[in-house]
Amino acid sequence: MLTLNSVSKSFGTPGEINYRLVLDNLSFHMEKGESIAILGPSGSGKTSLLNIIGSLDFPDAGELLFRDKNLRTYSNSELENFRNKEIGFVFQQHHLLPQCTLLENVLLPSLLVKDKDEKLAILNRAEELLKRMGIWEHRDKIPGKMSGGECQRAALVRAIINKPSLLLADEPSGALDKKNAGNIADLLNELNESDGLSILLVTHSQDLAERMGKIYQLIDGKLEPDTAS
Amino acid sequence: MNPLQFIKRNLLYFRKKNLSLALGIAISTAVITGSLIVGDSVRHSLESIVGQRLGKITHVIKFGDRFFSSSLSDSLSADLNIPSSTALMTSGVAVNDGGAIRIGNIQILGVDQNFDAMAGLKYFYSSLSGDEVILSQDLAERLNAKPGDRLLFRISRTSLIPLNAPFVSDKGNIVSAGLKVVGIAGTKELGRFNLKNSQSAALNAFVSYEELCGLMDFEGKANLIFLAAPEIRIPEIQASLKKNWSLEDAGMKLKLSADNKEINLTSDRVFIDDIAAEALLKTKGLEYPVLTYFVNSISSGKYKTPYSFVSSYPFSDLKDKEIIINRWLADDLHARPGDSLQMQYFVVGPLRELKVEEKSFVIKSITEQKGYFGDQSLMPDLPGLSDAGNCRDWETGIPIKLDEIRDKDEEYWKKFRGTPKAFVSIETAKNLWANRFGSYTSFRFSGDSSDFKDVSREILAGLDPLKQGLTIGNNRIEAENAAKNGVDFSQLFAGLSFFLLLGGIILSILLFLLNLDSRKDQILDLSSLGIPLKKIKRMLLAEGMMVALAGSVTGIFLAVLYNRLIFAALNTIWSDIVRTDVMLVDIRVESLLLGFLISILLAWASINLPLGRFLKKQFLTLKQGKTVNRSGSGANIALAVSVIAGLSGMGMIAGEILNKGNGGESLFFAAGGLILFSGLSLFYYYLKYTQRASGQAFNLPQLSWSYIFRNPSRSLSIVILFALGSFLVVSTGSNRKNLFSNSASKSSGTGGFLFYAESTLPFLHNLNDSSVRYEMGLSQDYQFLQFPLSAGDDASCLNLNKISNPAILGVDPSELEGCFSFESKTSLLNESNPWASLDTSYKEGIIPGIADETVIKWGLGLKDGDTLVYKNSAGADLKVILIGGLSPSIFQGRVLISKKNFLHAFPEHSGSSVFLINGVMEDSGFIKAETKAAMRDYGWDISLSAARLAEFNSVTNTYLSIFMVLGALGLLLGTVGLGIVLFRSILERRKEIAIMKAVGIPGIMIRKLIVSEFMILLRIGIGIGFVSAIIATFPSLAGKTGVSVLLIFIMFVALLLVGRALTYLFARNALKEESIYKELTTE
Repeated sequence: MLTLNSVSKSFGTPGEINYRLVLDNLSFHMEKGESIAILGPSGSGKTSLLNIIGSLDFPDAGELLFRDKNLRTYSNSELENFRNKEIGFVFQQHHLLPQCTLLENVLLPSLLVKDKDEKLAILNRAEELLKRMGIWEHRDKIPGKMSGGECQRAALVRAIINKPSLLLADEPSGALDKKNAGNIADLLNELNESDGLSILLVTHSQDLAERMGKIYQLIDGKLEPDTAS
Repeated sequence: MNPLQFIKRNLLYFRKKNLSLALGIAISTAVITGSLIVGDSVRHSLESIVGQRLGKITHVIKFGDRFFSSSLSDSLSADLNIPSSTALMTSGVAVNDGGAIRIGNIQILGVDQNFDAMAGLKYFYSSLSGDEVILSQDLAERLNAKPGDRLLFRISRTSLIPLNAPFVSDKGNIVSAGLKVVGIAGTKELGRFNLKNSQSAALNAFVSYEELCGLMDFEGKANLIFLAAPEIRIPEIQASLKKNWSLEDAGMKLKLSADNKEINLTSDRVFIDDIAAEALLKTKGLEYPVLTYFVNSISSGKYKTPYSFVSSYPFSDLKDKEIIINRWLADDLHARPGDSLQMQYFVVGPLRELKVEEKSFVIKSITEQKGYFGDQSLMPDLPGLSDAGNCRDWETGIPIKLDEIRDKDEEYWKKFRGTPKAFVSIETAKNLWANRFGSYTSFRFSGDSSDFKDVSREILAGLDPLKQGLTIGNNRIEAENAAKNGVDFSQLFAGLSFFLLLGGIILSILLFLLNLDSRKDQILDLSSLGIPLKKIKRMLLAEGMMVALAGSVTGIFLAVLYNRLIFAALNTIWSDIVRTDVMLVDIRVESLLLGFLISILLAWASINLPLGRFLKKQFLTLKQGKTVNRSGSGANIALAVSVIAGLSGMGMIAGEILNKGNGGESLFFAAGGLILFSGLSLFYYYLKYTQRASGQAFNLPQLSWSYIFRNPSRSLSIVILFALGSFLVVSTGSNRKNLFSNSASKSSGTGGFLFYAESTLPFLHNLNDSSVRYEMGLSQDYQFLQFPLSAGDDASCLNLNKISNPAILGVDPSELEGCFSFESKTSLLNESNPWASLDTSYKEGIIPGIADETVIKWGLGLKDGDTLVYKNSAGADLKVILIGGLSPSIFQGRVLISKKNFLHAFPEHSGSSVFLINGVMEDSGFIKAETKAAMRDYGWDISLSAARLAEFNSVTNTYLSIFMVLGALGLLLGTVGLGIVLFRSILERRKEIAIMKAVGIPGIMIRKLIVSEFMILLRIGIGIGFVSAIIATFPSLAGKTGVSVLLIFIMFVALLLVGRALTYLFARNALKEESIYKELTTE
């Protein structure tokens, strides 16, 4: 489903002190339905890798194939559509809109949908997912009135509302306590196992990483399977 | 590290942000201080003009249309030990280049040797002699004249006898004189001499006093005394005047009667006015008063005697119809006692209209021509009549039928001159011949020539010069007050710049908040380090105030620049509102300090209040995770305010419509303002209180609204900004006067009259009289309305000085029926025919007056129902109550009273100086050319009424232009503010925007979302402003002022389009950043 061929990414100007090569000729492949965790120290380039996969950023060199199509060849609108339909994002912070209710936040990706039936279907899915996440009764509350864990669950629902093929999660439990972190890990596992959702997450957390099917370490700009797990 | 170092670091590190804040504050400072400087400069200019037009003159003694002896000035000077000068002033027209250049409205001044002292000169005016003239610089420039040129002057004769008094010839009321220019008087030479409070330069021609007296055909008479004594008080001058006042000063003289047994008091004015008569009747030693009149004919049966004097007879009880005739007349008429006589005589109307009256008498007795009956001195001194050698040489103000004069009449004249031929009782004489100039022609006192001194003393004891129309004014103080209290340009420009100021303040607040926003985390960090909130606030306030200080100091310099710009505009494109070329910049330290202090205070408010709110919000969010408080007492107050303001506004309009009230434009404007306020309060209530429907149909507009609700204060500030901006632009646009619209309508400011004209020299006759027109060479195709005009200041918008006594115009109410429109009315104004109300008079002699509402309100600083106090000819108070205000009209600057009341108050006033002409536009060229030719010697200044109105309206329009320009600058600042709000908003939402991008919402849609949010606010703001401006200016829009509805519509659409374009531009630029996704990441 997802293939990275010799992807490199650097920041700063070569030869200067601020120059950093974060991804170095990196290659990687992921099949549909896999759940993969990428571990690595701070500044190792985990988030950069996730952003490149999510088409929020572009590599300096190499190619990224999604279902055998090179993302470089996509126009801006195709990329937006790709993000909207194929990719779901979850971040360390929930980034819910503070003025919108939980339900509205969840429906945010459906802003593009104009068809009434489709809208209704999304609304039904939102209900189903929110119920599944145990926050349906809070749907009309604004984020300021919710706990961090509840908000992160809502962010997860927002990420998968459009039935993406791949969920990209950047430290999804990083801002949560242990219990809520565990809950998020359970939910991710459930989504992977029951819905066949492909998940690629980057984390510091060994516990969370171990809940995924595969673990990679990002070291010196290259991904290496975690032999320890 | 101490707080000061911390602040210093912040100032340096955030220098760009601080610089922009300083700039915002500098703009506010420049606007405030600049306005103060403009006010100071205009005031200073007007005060400078006082010195330029009065020289060293402090007090002026005037005698209206009368004359005192020139020696009075010397007597006062010697008595009070102060410098004085006497002058004879009249008006005239100057002609150069053989008539090619003709300038009217010139002050002709006959000045004595002492006038140099008044000007602070040594040998300038005193060098004038013979046929020499010194021209003021402005006049010389207009005439294109230089020293050595000879000019022709047409000078209004200042006659000792009122020009319209019965039997006074109107021949020679204009004197022609060829004068040689010997000098040009600039500002330093008192060339701008003017007793009127006006900043415009007067046109002056100075000749020697003796020369002007000679031209006027009298000597030793003057109508002005100038004093140069700042320390002297008016009571001292009054006392000295009374002490030095002589019969000659009062225009009276004593001579013996024909039989040398009585002393006869006569007046230069022929008829002795009622005020003097009242005093004379009480004088010790008075025998009796006399009234002698010139009658057209006396007839009995088939016999008729032409042109005779008839006098009152005091020594018998003659009844109303009884008459005594002398032997000569009895013989001529073959009449005997008991026979009846018919007497025909003229009475003279205001414009010398002659009406023949007739009275029948029965002869009581026939008397010999001796004693009183043979007294030639009963005949008054009538120039042209009493001094004529024979009857055929008579030059009187009435037509003399020479063919009726017989040889025997000539013989009588040669032998007995004007010895009266008939005698009636004094009551009958007064009933028949008393007129506005007086009821007596002489007073007889007992005594002979040795008693002259005593009689004179007795008379003067009762004759108070101050009751004869003589006035003493401290012109210097009055002029300085008029200048000081004139149009306050400080307030005016502060008001006109209000929106600019508001823009500057809002901009400062927004820039400061933007600065705080970018340092939000740092502030929270400080708090987490245990630094108390109060301390953080104090440090941030101190930092802000240091920036404000720098901004205010910069603003002071910018203020000078702002002032220069305004003055450059006032001297060029906005010169309509100042009408002078001597506007001087006056920068006063106290104004700079005041501007600086106000700016610092405003800056403190602009920094401290938002800072408090910001910190409160941040720490509340940090502690409780709260974002928006949608309800609360603030919302309820907003709702209450909205309802009260809205209902008040609508109530005012309803009341105005139902009761046909008189509030007019100002009431609608107030109602519009209230509705604007109500709309804004209602919007605030909506933001704060109304819960947005959530959920099911989540779409783009809903998301936009969610952002609007998220920060009510910010949303409201945008709405306020654009509501005020559009209110200002639309209301000023609606109030602009279409300079020539509806000018033919009777209800317009022209009254439907085609031409408005003024003459420098009063025209004594009725221009609608066919014989007068024939004589003047005027065709019969158009009609004149003629108005007498009193001396007084111009209170129109063209004069910047504070005027308390505008010139009075006497109007015939019946002639103006249905003309012009009233903007405000008092209960004293007749609803169906407002002009008719002018013919009434109220208790205590108060008379009604009408003026332009703008003159009442702005020129005089009064309101309808207030009273103006003038001095009438007798020096008594003349109280004029303002009973109504006209919509802007061609009468601007004058107070209108009825002609009847005018002539009662100023009986000696002769002729008309203001004219309205009825006619059709097609004939305008012909009428203008014909009247200009016919009236050229009168200093005829004619213009289309519409053009005159347009000149006044152009002043209003200039003010509106200034308001619009400064308002537009304010709107520009507001737009910059909008950009900052938008930028702040995007800055605040970077993560949200990033998440939208992450979930695949296209950039164009995000931009659409932001544009849509701001456009909602813009539309609401512009909508509220537009609707309330339409209400505020409804009278202008519904009336016939020619406001283009299309223009208003275009302004509305333009505001929306410009707003949309700017919002789009700001949003596009703010969303340009590609790496916004980094906001979401942890690395």
